[in-house]
Amino acid sequence: MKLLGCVMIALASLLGGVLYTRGIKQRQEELASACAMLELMRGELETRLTPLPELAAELAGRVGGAGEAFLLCLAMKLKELGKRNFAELWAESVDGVFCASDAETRNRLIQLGPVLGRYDIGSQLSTLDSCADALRRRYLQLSGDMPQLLRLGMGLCMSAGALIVILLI
Amino acid sequence: MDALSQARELLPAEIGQALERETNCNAEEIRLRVGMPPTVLIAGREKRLSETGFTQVQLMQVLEKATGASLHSYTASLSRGYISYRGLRIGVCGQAVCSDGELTGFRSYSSAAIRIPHQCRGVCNTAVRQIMSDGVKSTLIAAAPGVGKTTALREIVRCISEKRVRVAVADERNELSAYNGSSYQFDLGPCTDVMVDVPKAQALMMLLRGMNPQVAAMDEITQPEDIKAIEDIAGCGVAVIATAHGGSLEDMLRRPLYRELISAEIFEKLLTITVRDGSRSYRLEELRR
Repeated sequence: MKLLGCVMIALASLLGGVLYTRGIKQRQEELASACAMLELMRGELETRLTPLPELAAELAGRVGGAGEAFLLCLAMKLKELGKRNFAELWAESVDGVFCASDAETRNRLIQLGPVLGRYDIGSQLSTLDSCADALRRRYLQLSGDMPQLLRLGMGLCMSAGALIVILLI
Repeated sequence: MDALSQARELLPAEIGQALERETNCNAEEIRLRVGMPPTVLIAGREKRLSETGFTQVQLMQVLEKATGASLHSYTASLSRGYISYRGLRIGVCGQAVCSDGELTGFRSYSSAAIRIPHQCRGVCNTAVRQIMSDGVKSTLIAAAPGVGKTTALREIVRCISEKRVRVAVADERNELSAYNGSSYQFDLGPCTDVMVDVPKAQALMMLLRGMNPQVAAMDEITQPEDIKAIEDIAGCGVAVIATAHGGSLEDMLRRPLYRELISAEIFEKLLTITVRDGSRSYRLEELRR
């Protein structure tokens, strides 16, 4: 029984490590997808002044990953325009899709809501650029730290598991 | 979906329901003013739809719905004081933001007027027959604001087009055709081509060069460029049907722009529309002596 318990603890710590590394990779993917999405949005707004409902529907198929899910979610939520304001619907879509991202990334994206579609096009593009730059920096930083974070996460989980096993034995 | 239903969709639920109860399809405009109860214009009179003042938040929600939360897509029309939503003209008022003398947006909005267009088949039938009696005569339609110039123009265009005459329409505000991206919500006839969201003078030239019209139609002559474009197109043998603000010929002749227009002798007929006791009358007279 003790042996079985130790095996289960070891598996649990391994699973914890795997989930942790998956979370880090998903955060990286969400950042990459968000950056691609913001770049496409910028292009559409700058060249075609595309209305946001049309933009969400058109770009969803061109982004992939979390960006696609976000734009599809936004396109659905925009049917409630008139009853609720755009900033609320945008914020809900961010919170609903970018689940693995940290609070700062989500806040950066949420801050676009009150600006998009409301300010003049120049201000919208500046705000998009500022958000995209910030997310790109976070992506580069995360990518650079990724090997270390993965090793650290896996190591910590395995160590915690080993410590628990030792204490129980 | 008819124009009134589309207007109701923009409004908060309780006001939309009040509109449905009050109007019976004869609403002309919906007036939304911050701090004042919303009203509906019927037969020239405003009737309240609620006893509660319309809020800034509610007005923004209406405009967000109308623009799809995309005011940036409507900069050009906002600089002329309106937004087009599925054939509805929504006039806006508020505190504007200007840069180098050009309006770039609004800091805040204080009121909106949603114009409800109507297709009235058979209106001004007698006048239409006379306009088309021996080929299409260039006709100027004059009336005070809100009396029915656009409705009459729409019907005249439809009747001409039904006779297999090619009509080109410069629909700058998308009020005549109410084009929604895939179809026209108003019937302008089987031989009509429409240019939407382009300034009238530019649209007329594009239509002349590209669509080989026999008749050209436009709503509200307001700029000298409009007159120049009409002169050019009429000089190519195209009949012109257009509208202008004015209660009568004498009224129009008091204004320099319309004096110039009438002295150019492009239009053969003047159709004047007046409203008395809620009833419209149409008077057609010769312009060229």
